[in-house]
Amino acid sequence: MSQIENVSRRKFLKGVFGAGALILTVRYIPTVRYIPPMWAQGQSTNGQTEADRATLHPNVFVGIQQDGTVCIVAHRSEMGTVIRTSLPLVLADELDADWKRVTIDQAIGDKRYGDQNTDGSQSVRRFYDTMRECGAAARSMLIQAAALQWNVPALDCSTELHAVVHKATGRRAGYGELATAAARLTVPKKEQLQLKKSSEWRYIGKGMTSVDLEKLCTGKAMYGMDARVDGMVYASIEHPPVFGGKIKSLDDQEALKVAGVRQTVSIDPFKPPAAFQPLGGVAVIADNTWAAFQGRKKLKITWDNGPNESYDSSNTRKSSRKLRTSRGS
Amino acid sequence: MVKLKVNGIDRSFDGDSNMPLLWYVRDILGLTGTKFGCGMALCGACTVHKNGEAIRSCVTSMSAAAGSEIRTIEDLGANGLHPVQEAWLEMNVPQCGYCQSGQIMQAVSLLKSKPHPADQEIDDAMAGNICRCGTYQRIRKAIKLAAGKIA
Repeated sequence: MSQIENVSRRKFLKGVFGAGALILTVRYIPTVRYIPPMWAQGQSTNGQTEADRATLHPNVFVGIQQDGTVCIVAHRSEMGTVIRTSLPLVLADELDADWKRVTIDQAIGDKRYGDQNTDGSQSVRRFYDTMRECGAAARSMLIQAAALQWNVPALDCSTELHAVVHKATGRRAGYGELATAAARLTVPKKEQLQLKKSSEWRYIGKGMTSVDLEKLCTGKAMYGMDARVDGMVYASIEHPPVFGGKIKSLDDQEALKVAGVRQTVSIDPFKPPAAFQPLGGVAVIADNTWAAFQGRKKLKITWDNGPNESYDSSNTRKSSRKLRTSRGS
Repeated sequence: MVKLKVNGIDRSFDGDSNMPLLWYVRDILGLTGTKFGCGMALCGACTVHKNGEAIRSCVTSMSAAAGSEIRTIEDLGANGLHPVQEAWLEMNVPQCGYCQSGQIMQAVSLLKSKPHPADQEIDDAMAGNICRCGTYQRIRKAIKLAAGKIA
């Protein structure tokens, strides 16, 4: 929830003209303090994702297979912001992984990933550090595994693209080769992690493209309304014309006569506050979208418009104007 | 009974001939690459080709589509990407991508009638295809790139 601090009108105008800048003081107060998902060992797998099933799986977000494939979990919903690419990209960068050898698993809803509510432009801000830490944890284990094999200090080893190297002796091992040995090691604690310097970033800030780019250009990308399951029917909902309204009476006889219409379902209105509850109304269920649309047009509904029946936006405008000219506190 | 060809395959449909082609393509044939946006020919998300020309499938009834050859985004790149799709990839055009099947089908149709469109001609031809992500600049660049590829 954000709280807008009251800047007095006079002070505000002075600010605008004095500094030539628009000043609006907004203090952001999160209602729920976010707790990062557990990425420590023991919290990592239940075999759902490729990452879970991979040989090295230090945390819920990443797994490395013996052939070097890096499986990264996208745990936010893709709604067109390309978050399915950006967060895995941060992890891959910190892992020094070859982006061409990364596969992305879309996570289902699961408490392991914490709150998956994707909204408010929060996903990168809230998970940027987590993704870096998860990538760094895997990288650290790969380095340690290589150092043990080569009998050299881990500090003398570093990573290049998808491989651990020991520069002094020119030795090199790919991530896939190291996965089994690395999986036997303890997952480092967050405090032990060494994150890359920003000058070492491969992908962050480099204008990478969506992993779904080709699908988006060939009609193969699957959106919510493209989902198809066996025996699926289609619905179209007639909502109350006034927010908070409900059905007084319904005659669906004509609607049910439309070819392809199967049934109608009345949906209860929400109990205030509305929040994210359904608006209520009448759903027409049919064999295809068009039939549902046609059936919906034939519904005869009398509405009880409820408490907002007399709501008048011009009155609200007037009262807002009045408030604008009254003295602030 | 409506007979038509969709992506090279002969089809017949004995349902409501007032049903828009869009819903036939999406719900009956399962070709979901063509999108529903407004249902009123205002946004272009549902653009397909009828006998090679861009049309809005959301307001084209099955009876109006009878006897024609319909092509959807699924067929465009079926045998390797179309030059317009290649250009779209090179220019990294889509963001969310929802409108892009329609944008691409419209652009293919434009380049067929005007192989080297000027900026104004591109803007005029693409004006009915709305993109909420605002990818218009990249669309224009991609159309020019595609024009060079086709030539």
